[in-house]
Amino acid sequence: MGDTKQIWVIGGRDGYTIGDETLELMTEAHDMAKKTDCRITVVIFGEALDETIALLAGRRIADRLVTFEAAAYRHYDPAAYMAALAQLAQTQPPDIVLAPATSMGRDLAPRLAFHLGAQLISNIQQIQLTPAAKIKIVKPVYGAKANATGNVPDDAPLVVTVIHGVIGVGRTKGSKATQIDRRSPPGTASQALASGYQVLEFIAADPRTIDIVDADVVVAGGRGVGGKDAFETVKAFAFLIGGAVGCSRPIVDDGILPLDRQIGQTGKTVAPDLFVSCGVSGAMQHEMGMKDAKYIIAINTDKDAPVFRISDYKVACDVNRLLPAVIKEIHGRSIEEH
Amino acid sequence: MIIATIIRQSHFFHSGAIGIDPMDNELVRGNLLTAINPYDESALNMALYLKEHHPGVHIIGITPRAEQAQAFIDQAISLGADEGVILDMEPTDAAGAEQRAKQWSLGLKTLDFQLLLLGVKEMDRCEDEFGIYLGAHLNLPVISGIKTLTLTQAGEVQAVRKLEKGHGERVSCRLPAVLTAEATGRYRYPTLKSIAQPKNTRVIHIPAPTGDTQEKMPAVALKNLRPPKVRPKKGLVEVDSSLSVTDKLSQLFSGGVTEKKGTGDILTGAPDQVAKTLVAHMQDKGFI
Repeated sequence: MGDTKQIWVIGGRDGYTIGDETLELMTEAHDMAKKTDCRITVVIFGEALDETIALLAGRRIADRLVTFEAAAYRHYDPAAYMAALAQLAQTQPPDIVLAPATSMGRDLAPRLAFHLGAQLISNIQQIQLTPAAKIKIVKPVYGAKANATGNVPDDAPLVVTVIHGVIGVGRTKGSKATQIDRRSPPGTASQALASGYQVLEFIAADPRTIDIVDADVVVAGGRGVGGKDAFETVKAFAFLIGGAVGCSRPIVDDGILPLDRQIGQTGKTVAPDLFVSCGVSGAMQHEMGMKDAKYIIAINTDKDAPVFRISDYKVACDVNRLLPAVIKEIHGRSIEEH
Repeated sequence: MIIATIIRQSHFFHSGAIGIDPMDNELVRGNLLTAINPYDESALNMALYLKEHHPGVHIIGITPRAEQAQAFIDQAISLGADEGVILDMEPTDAAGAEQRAKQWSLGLKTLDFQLLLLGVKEMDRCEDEFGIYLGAHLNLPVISGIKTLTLTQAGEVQAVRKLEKGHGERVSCRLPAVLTAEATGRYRYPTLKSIAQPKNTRVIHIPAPTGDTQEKMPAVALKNLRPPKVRPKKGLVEVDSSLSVTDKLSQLFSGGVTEKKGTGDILTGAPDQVAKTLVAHMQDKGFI
């Protein structure tokens, strides 16, 4: 290995788009480059990447941004991705590879490590490069009930997968002029690298079955909704806006929804882009589970309900009369648009 | 069709909390309980599902030689596995995942199977690469992180891989193959009758050839255990000093829930009119 450390950042994927995890890894690589001489290469895959390229290059952290842009990269396919990375490694092999600990990164990282003859450490929380170019990592062990520290021998390349959300995206900006290297798909990977499986279809998350923790939109009902039949309107509204259905504790106690739909201190904590609270008064125990939602719309008949304190948009109305009208209005607007 | 399922051990803790010796930051082993790795249990569950739906499926539970090996095999058989195999190989705890997979593959090559199922993750090490390495050393295709599994009439497997945010992808693969299973959260419990079953079931010991498993790269020694840092709750540490005592207490006990100021009036009126305004607002914000 030369004096300059070659760091690769493998761009993550979030459904079809490259997510925050790529920016997190770039932030980590940037911090490492402050301590010792490093050359950062960011590698991304996908289709129609112009916006992503502008975003990543705009951070001015990477020395080089390598893009593999083709329909073959729309879904994660280990064979196609490995063929591309193997081609890239031929010219300038990496010393350290940072990959996201996502469904893609967890699958790709060991394949890449095997190909490079590299050490792999998965699911790390932190990686530090000392000025003497020694690498130290922190990772969870025993079901994440403890964190352990390890010093990595520097006689072989290192591949790590980094847990998303630990580092944080931040607003880190560098001062490098990022060179854009657009590449076309190389030939197929060797047999040893090929996945041997075929992707048949992408299955989009169904808001009716998706875990409320993963949902971008959550519609939660409370005691104010009424009984089981009335709750069907909440479900219909949630389905219409592509939201998952959650609830406060009384709804679980009444057996209307199962425990895995409960939001709050004794249930799950959610942080969706939109949270619609229907007939929930907003007891502190419930608020603890939804206060981090980016935008909260609260519907309640009681104008003094605590939920209004933390809401962005407040509606004082009977939810059982309002939701059917809202559903009708949304249907009306969608017909007009067509 | 023969399905081999790998059963590894993982550790849990009495009272749920980990014990770390403050003197040397090592694990307090007296606090440990040993059980089947829950992800491997999930893989076994998938194999049992296939057995129930496809006649002729034969399940072999495979575990490495360890103190609890016989107990794990008995548990697998009581749940529905047909046969147990204990791989007699040197302890590999200190080795990295790639080296362990290499050693396992030497033992597995002596067995006949069409499908190798194991959990995607090993709880103790928080590692999820073992299955991929195993596939590489066995020269078999690997599908990682599956949540459902079916067999097709064409002799292939179809599986749904778990992706982020509740998405998935359906993939197909020819056999033989290695599949790693996500935790499904659906477990089985043996009946009293099935608990007696292991006595009548074959458990064989297979010596795993040592081969060339000399370490090229020693595993990174993970030490200096510490409990994860507790994230401070907002509000508990940032009490507004200008507030009255009552309000300070209210802020402390609210768990960091803070009031959103200046977010507009409460919308009231007839439901039809309110619905129009609300939907227009949601449309403006790009939610619908």
